[in-house]
Amino acid sequence: MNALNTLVRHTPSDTRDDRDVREEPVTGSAEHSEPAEQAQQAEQAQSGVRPGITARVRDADGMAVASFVMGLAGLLVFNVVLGPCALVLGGLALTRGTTRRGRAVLGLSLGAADLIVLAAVTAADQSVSWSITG
Amino acid sequence: MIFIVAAFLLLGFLVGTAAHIPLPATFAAAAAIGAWLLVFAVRERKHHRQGS
Repeated sequence: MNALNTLVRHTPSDTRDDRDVREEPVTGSAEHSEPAEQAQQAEQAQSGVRPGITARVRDADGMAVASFVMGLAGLLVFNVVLGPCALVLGGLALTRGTTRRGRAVLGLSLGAADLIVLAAVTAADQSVSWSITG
Repeated sequence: MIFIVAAFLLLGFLVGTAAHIPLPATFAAAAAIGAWLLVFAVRERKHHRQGS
């Protein structure tokens, strides 16, 4: 969870740019120095409605659902691919303040269960692939 | 020939759990997972119809 937080901390689509531009600390201004981005932030700060926030929360909800679906399918097939995908998407959804926290947590735990199930089955078979062939 | 064997083993690693458990168990797990996904999709659709 800590690694995920550090991964997404400085991205421009994070929740940190919800606040006013003038409240931005001086030390963190390196990645916000592009003029187009600053103009967009100023525009968002001036308009009272801030339509970007609802779109971002809906994105986070979609991430939570995608994490759940990937984690569930990854229990049976493509554990190595779908498990980490579910973990990352669930963590991102929680970080970006989704309204469907239960779905995101379920996806997160299913992603972890993918890798645990694969490890258990591999250990039981004593082989990395295809137990049928011996 | 060795390339085909290596690709086959890599596919087995990629497929994951389904390559390790027996075939009837795979089918049972697939049915359970598919049923859960179907129920989730139906509930989601119903919820969206009511919401909008």
